[in-house]
Amino acid sequence: MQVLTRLASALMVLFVVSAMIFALTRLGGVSPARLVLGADAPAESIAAFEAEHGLDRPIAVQYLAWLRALPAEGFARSYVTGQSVNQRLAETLPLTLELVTLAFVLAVVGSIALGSASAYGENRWPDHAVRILAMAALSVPGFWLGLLLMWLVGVQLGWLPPVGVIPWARGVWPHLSSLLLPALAIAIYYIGAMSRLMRASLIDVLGQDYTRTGVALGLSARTRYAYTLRDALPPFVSMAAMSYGYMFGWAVIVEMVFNLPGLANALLTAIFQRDYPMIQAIVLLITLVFVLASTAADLIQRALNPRLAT
Amino acid sequence: MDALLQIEDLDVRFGTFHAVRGVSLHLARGEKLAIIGESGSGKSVTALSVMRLLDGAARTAGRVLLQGEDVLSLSASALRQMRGRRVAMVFQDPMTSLNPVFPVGRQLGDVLAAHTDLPRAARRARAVELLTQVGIREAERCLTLYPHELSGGMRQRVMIALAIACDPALLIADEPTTALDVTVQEQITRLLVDLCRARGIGLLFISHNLDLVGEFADRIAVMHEGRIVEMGEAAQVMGAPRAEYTRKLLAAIPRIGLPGAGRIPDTPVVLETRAVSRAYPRARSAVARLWDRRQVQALSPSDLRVHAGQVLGIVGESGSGKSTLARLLIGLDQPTSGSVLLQGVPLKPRDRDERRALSRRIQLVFQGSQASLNPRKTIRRALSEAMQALPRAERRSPGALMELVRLDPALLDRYPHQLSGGQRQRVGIARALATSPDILIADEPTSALDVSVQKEIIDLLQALQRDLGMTLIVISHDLGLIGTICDRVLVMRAGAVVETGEARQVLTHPATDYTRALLASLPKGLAGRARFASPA
Repeated sequence: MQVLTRLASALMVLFVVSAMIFALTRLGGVSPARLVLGADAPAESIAAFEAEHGLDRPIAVQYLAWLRALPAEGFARSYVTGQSVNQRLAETLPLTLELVTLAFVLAVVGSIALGSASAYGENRWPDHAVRILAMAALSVPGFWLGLLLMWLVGVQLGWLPPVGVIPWARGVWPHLSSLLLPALAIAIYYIGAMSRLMRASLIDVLGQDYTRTGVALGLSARTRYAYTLRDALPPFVSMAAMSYGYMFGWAVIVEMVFNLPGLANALLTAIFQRDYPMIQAIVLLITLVFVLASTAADLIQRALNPRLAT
Repeated sequence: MDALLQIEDLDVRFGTFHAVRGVSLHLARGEKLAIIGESGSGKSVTALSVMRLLDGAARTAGRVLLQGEDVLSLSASALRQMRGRRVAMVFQDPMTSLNPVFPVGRQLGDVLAAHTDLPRAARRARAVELLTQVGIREAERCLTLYPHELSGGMRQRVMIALAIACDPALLIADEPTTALDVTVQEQITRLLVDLCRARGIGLLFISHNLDLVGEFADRIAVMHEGRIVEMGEAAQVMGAPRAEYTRKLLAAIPRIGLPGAGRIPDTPVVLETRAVSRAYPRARSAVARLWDRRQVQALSPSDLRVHAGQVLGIVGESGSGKSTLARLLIGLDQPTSGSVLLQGVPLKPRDRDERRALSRRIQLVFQGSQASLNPRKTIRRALSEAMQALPRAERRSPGALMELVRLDPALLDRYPHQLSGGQRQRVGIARALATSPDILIADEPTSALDVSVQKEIIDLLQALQRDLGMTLIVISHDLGLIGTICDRVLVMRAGAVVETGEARQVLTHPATDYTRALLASLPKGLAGRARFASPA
């Protein structure tokens, strides 16, 4: 029952957000017709363009029409290029998803490892070292870090390809390795932030009476770590889920730096051209990712914490 | 003598705090030794150092010999094998000492896996066996339950099952019943004593409750300020104490004395409830309430009447509805049905002016004086703020309030954490008296305090009630406290009033089985030894 409630509310969020996006993209004031046809296009051709694309109707009507078309035809065509938005997304979205997912995995694994080292070495050198690393990670902008990694690992050391992406067709490792540097550039900030949370959460659990019970019962260090990590996960899961959404924002910059043909390029071009159908589609997709991630986080929390699941 | 545990000259310091000062004791196989003391006496630190469970800040000296081997010099892996296998521990609060996110079966299975080679299926069978041994009837079902799904007593039984899972030779129980209700306390103590007797386990029982350990301990050690001030056979320590401190502790235990001749006075009724009840929706979120309309009945319709100048005791175990009733009496909460009448006029707690006026008539003393005083405000400010509802002319000086509760006004500029527990509770009382209320409600006024401090607070409340002619309502789970100061008693259970009457009558000739059971489960010191003489 609770799961259904949660899914229903996720769907509601998606509706509300899609309406807001729709309205906001149209509040720009400048008709896309002007951008497509040029600043001195005659009024008749502007009117004709708007009529053709339905831009002369009230916003609510436009929204409903767009919504109605969504399940059957997907997103509309671009005003500017006339190209199908569906197709453009199909070309660019997978790469960005791969990049962000890889960054997410790096961030989760890295922050659990560093956070644990920090918590178990509380106020001793491992803690101090991780604290300094985390501060550095949080204060250095991702694109600059990307450039640094590109120069150091890609160019100087030559371990990984510095720019561009190697297609799947040339093998799994070559493909992933070409994404590793940009993924790291995105992940480092989140490793910094999430490892601090992991540390705080672990220290909290380590101070609980039941941790002492585990010691008193002579449980092995491995079992106790598994217990502690499991208990410390819930706040971490919420933060990780949100981070997954935020990483799309970072991906825009990092994809530009590493010259990756992902969503970033498509989004920036669309924004400059006021290509409403394209902007809407991309923003809605990112919202969808956010909503899915936070719903997943909620469901995972429920599974992790039996006290919520009643 | 076959010494299972021998502590020689144990000394523990935390920085400058000298927690344990040269403690020596021994415990034979199958013996039951109780360590008694108030908070800060070093009793728990002594117990924890047997398991080497003190945190890194502790500096320990001396020797702790378990079966002849010095625990203080064991390696980490030897220590791990010792813990749970040769010595195990049961802690005070079973809610916080069991892992909340794993089912009982998993927790038992992991302990067995840590110390035995049993395969999974055998571990499960052993877990069922253990749960049955600690008196859990549906052991199979219990394996799949989480700690929050169990009652307090069940949780402590599970904790005991964990402790005895690998047949330890020594069991340390640190205040194992303090967080539990009286009736459950008796069952758990009984279980521990019977298990240790049947298996020849040595029991080191840490407690603040002399009457409790007097019923079963072979020997008692009394600790005070890090030292053992007296140690001997239970009958001697309880019956003919040698140390001054032991005598003081024994004198401070609130025992049911026969209180005031039940001054059921011809004074008018000041506070009464008419079929007052309170129910809460079961569903937590507003959305879920749309389809889940089930209610939890915290208080069934209840009637009570308090006459001016009377002391009424409301007694009950956890979940009995006594705190719900208190919140309704003071207007902190709205009844679902029925009404509360103050001098014949129904309370309307939603009305802001009336709330303000009410604060001058009824006041509440809270249980945890630590939590109910703002840690960032001095005592002076806390007391001054309590008088804001009064017109300026009627306000008293904070110093006068301090003197009223026999506290040195020099303490006014301190913060709550700079006071002792007893001093804080006096401030709590002073704050409640700031508006000179006619009625004072004290919710578990002594439960967070040491025995000797409890006595001081009880004496203070009694004196204030007499001198100021207040009406006093004391809410407590402690029949000893109720039986010491109350004129009338109201016994509650599961949200309902089961018995009410003159204190002397109810406590000596209870009319209901529940009150009888409650009285019977009170620890009785040496007088209660007979019931532990043989297994149940």
